[in-house]
Amino acid sequence: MANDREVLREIWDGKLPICFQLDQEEIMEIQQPDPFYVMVPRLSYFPLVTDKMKRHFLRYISQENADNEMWIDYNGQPLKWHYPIGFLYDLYCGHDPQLPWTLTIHFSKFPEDVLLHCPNKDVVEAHYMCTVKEADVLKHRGQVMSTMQKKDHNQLWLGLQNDKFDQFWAINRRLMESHGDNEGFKHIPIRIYTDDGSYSQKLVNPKNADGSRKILQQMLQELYPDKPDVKLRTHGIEIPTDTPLQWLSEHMSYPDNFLHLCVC
Amino acid sequence: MDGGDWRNSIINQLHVRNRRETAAFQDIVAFQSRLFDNVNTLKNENLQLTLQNERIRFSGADSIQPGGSGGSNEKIQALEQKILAQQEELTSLHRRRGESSQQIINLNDRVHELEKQVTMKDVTISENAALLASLRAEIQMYETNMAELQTLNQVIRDEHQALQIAFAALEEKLRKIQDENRTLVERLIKYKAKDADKMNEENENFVKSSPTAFLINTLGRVSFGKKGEKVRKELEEACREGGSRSSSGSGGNVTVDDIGQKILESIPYYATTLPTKVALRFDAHDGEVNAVRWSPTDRIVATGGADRKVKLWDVSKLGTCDCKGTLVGSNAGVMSVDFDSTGAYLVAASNDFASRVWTVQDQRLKVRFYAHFSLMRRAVRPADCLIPDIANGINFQVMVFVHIASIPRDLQLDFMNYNGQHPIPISQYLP
Repeated sequence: MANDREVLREIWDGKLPICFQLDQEEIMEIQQPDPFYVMVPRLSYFPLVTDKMKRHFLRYISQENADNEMWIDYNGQPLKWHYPIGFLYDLYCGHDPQLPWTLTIHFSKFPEDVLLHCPNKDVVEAHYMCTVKEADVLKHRGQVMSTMQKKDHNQLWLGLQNDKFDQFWAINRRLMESHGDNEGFKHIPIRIYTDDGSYSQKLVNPKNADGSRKILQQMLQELYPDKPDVKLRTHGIEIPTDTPLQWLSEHMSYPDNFLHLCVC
Repeated sequence: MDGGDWRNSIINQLHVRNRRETAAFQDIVAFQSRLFDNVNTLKNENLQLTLQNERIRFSGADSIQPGGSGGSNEKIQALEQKILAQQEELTSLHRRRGESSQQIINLNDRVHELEKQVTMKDVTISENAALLASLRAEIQMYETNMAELQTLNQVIRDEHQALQIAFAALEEKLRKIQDENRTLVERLIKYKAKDADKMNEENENFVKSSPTAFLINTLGRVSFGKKGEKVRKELEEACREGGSRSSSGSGGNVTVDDIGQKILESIPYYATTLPTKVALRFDAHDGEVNAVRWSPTDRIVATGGADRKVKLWDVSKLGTCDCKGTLVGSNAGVMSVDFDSTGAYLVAASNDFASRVWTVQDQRLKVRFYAHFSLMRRAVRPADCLIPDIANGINFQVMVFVHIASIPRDLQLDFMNYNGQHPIPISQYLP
């Protein structure tokens, strides 16, 4: 059970200062646009927080690009909107923190081969719900999500979208509960990313063969037998290797119920 | 919970993280965003104010700025006066427009009137053109008439000249005849005187020879002695006068006749019957009657006179004479008249060197021809004419006797063939 509210709250309250800047090539006005500073929740997604910023920059681009889809890059690397913002920061800036995080806004030359299109927030919601279901399948064979009603799904999404901790966790708690006779999940939904953005997703059991709780160290030894000192980062912190996987999944998963871990 | 070091480590790291990432920037970003919003709102406000300002300025430019006090009042008054003046001008312009429209109506009326006049004039012009054409035709006609008349005039002049020549010849002849006559009279008087002398001588001889004769002579002398001497005297006077006068007084002639009584008795006697009783007498012409001819078929008499006319007389009823018609056309006295054998045509020869043919029935001049064109110039006039033959009613031959003045007493016989239009001489005879 995810009952360590202090940890959950700390994670939920984590925010990142971001400085958005318009790509120099797309500025059509004589006056240089001011950079747009904003504090965004780490757990949120870019399409949910860029409305105001987009309105601000639309005034400075040519009319023919105004209807194009906006995309964001960091140091020439397009940022995938379907990952949580905090994870993206950990992935690209985790080992070299730069605050505020300076990102560049583009309205043209959409990188079709890298990014998914995101015409509106419904797409984000659909993707989010898909990921939650996937995680639930891994954890409870999909039983929790399928028993939930539509309004529960809505509450889950609205809680995340509106940054309402209690609203979100009222539903999410049920997803974090263990079912059946044994304690813990069937598998841990976990994705481990490398620096180049590729990730590996493997079936990880929260318990060892002897029934004891599996800790991170043991999992790493299973996954990376030839690398003794692999360190993993998530939510801007380095995870102690002796943390149990079950607790880790219950408390430090992103709202999509996955553990997004970066190899540092 | 059963948290060990790992949990504390996580909590600490999260705290550190939040302090580093969130707390450090929370306020400043919030402040920045507030400033940003402020700037935006101020910008919007500024824009709105600018717009409002513009609008106010615009409307201010439109309407008269209030609050100009005295100066603007004067301006207003001036403008009002101007407006008044403009309105007056407008009304005057309206009035003038009305006047000019009236003028336009009047002018339109006049234009209509003038158009009507023009059409009327067109009509008269066309009428005049027609009249002109007819007059031209008339002129043409008259010109042809005049040409005909001129040729006729030429002919008449030629005739006149010929007549003049004929007249001169006649005068010459008359003079000669008079001379001849005078000499003859003189000779006659001489002979008469001689006769008288011879008779006187014989009487004296008779008286001397026989006593009875002597007695008678004495008686005669007693009774007629004085008278005889008187007669002798008168005779001598007459002889004297005879030189100057061709004819003497009747008394003288009678005396001579009486004296020549015995001479006449000695001449042989010729018995002749003369018409004594006039059956019908009528005045035919104004002048002399030159020609008379009976119609071969009807009891009609044709007469030709010096009054240039040929007249037809119906003498069928005894004791009366009706003028059936007058054939005119001759330019001089008619000298000869004749009918053709059927009595349908009549030809008359005139002193104007022409012969003319009329129809008896409708008394129309059918043809006129001059006797001989080449001779006519040399003063030819027809003496007599007759129509011996008629062939087919149209072609007929006319015999014309032509007297050639230059060769007196000669006659030329001319056969003319008439076939409708012009007579063609077919033969000439010189007797």
